[in-house]
Amino acid sequence: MALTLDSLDLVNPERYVSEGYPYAEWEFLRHRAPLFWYDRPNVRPFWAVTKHADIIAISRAPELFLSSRRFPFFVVPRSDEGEREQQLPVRNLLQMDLPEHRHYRALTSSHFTPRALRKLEGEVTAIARAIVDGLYARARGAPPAVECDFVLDVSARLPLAVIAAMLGIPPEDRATVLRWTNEVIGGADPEFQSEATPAETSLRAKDDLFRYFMELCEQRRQTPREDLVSVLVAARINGEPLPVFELMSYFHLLVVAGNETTRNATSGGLVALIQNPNQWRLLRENPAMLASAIEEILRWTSPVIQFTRTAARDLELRGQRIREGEDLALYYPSANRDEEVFEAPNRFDITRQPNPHLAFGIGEHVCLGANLARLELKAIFAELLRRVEHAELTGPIERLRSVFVGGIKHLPVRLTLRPTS
Amino acid sequence: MRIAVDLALCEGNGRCAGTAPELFVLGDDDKARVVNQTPPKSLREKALLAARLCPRQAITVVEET
Repeated sequence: MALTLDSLDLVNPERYVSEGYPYAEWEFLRHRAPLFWYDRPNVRPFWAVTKHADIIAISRAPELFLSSRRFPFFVVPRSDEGEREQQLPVRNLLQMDLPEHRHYRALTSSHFTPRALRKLEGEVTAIARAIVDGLYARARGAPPAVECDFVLDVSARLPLAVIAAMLGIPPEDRATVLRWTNEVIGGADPEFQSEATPAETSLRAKDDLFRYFMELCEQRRQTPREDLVSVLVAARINGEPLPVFELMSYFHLLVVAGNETTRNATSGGLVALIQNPNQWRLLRENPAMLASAIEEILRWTSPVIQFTRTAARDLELRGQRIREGEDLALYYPSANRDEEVFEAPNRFDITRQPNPHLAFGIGEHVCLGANLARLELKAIFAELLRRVEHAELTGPIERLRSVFVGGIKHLPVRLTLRPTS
Repeated sequence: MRIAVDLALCEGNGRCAGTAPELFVLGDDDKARVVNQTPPKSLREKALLAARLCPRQAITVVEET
């Protein structure tokens, strides 16, 4: 069925499950309607922003394109029209504008710089190694081979362990926290939906996380440690501690963002390498290309599908009149396939240089965890390349039902491991 | 041309210093400093690249006529 502007769909979570990202639709829009007013029944209309240059321009002007006017990632049904002003379920960096955003981000940004993260390198490498050791423990035959769900057994583990360690979440609580973050992001997915609706699931999980962190905060107030919970509990803005809602929301952000996205880049990266065996071979033969390969994995998988902004006033962009209060959805994976920026954008090429992808966004709200994500991805892929001889899919890729994060829920694979020396 | 780093935006990612060490240096405070605020035209491309690469978009390059 040929695409038309009137009929193409960007917001149905089902197609993200069955077909993955709507690359054809985004390409169509980039060429025909690069700034497209998406107006359909049952969806609050928004501007679909599909061009790399426009996402940069919008992201560079946080005073014109606000984050605080709406919850920045879920498609809002038209029926919620009157609820725009109601209290957001969380209030963290994603929902803040200047000047407040600057104050809140500064509370933790020093822990996410390349320099600060160098101190974590040893621990991250050790966790990656232990994950692959675990695969060997389950492997059978000669050469050793193991069948597993790559998401549960590999991808999900490293980001969870690292962000939990940074926050100060004890190991015995990690599985529970992982389940809650699955429910926050994947509330629309039947596997994670525990309440009557996706929104309810997400909200209940948020409440569970809030309650958990309240307790942890109390413990850290009594006995501070060198973790991010202790840092945020002790933090002061204009001499005042953080209000409880914003404090809990901050943890919510760190634990959800620290879990969901890197996991999906890892899973998607493995799929890309399986589907492009010449690239796997090239990387194995040239380990110095790892950093470049990670950037290409980020561009290719682009786990965050969209964040939104709201126009602060009437303005013009790409010859279109945007009105105050209108929402814009920034489609990062589309920017990462923009033909005007990337040569042969639909080719997975680990040697791609330069690689100015926007998987982490750009500007004021650029991903706080970008350097951490890179550290984790390098660690896990270095370990996999060193010790996995061959990987193949043994079943269908199960995708997350979400229009926000491009998730792979389950990735059944057989991994043939290099014999231990 | 004049180069400036917005220190309120800078978070010490160091892309600038990595791309153009002739122009930028990352201090111990995790803030970038411009080594030469009015560099020669020969470094124009590097300056513009560093500005494009900065994740926080903290670098401005003003070309003076």
